[in-house]
Amino acid sequence: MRHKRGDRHVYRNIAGEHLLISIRGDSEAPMFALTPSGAMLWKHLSVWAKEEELVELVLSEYDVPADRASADVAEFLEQLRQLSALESEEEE
Amino acid sequence: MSAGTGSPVEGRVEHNASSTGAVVGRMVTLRIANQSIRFQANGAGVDLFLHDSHIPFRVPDDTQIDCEVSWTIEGVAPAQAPVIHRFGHRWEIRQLSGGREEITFYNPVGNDQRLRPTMQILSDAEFTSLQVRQAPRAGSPSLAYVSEYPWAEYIVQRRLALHGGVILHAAMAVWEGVAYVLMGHSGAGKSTLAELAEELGATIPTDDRTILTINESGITAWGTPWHGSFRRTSPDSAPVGLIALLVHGTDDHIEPMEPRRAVKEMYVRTVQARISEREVQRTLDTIEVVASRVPCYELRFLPTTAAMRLLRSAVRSEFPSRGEP
Repeated sequence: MRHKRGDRHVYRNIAGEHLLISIRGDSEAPMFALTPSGAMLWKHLSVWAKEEELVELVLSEYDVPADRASADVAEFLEQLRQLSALESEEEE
Repeated sequence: MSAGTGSPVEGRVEHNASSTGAVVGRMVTLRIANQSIRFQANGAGVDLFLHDSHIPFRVPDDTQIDCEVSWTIEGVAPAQAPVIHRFGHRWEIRQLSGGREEITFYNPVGNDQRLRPTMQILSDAEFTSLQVRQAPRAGSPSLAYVSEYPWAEYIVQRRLALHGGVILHAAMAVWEGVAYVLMGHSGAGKSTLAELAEELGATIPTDDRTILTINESGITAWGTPWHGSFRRTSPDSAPVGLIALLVHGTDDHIEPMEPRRAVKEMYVRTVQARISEREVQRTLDTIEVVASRVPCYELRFLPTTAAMRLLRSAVRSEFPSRGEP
């Protein structure tokens, strides 16, 4: 499975806060705060990426155990999915 | 004169029990904030109708315009093109060739509750040249309702989002030459505080929709034709002295808002059709500049004039040069 960010949200850094903002006017919650690592992953998801690649990215940037990085990435992807902010597809 | 005569002469019209206005002929130009929009009837016998709330926004037809709207009365049908946005069952946007958009609005017709296409706006990518199709209406088949909510507001929303500026869900009080922007969702007390400000001598260009624009000298607030329960509308503008987020309280208290929070509070109170990334980013650009240049506060208040006096003391502390009147 590989993933890419959807086109229903834009990223914005406002006064040091990482925000994901819904483009759609009918969204009930138009803004979502991202952690710095979430913002990093969002930027990386501009192109298709496998979950393992995202875990590697976290490990290269943050001093965290592999199992923690793996769990965090999985949780982040699930949050994006719930926001309809993630596209996923099976690898060819 | 009764509605629906098709006569090109101007005159008063009882549109319905709660809304009156005037037939204004085949061309009318409105200036709403920094946007000049010219409406032109297209088709024999078609006349333009302006609601009373919009008449103060009329400017001479030789005004340099930002947006031209040609208005036709005929049957409305959506194009065979992909829908890129759909908002409930009431309106949808289709992407046409060359970056053009087709926005179709659906409404019940007469006693038939089924939704039918009743209005359509075909625009270029910059919302500079628009063609509107309005379905004929029983009783007034030749009147083009150019100011009917939400068409004009929608056009202004898109113009501002693409070219700079923002509509806030906010009342506006001009007091001693300074605009107080009183921001809040429905029920927050915008109209109530506006009415209290008027008691103190302020003018109220709008009690529900305030437009903010940026220019070299600072941030300007503008009245709009779209009002709340206090029913105040005017094209007046003034430099913004303060933006207040209204919160019901048990006493009167103001607290400064950091720009970071002010941006978020303003964004969720924008009256903008969020259609494209470009428009969202441009809107946020505007709001960020506003939040960095204008003092923003949370106002907890009781519905008395003391709340407005408290805001005035904040403006005077921010701008000491503004002394007693």
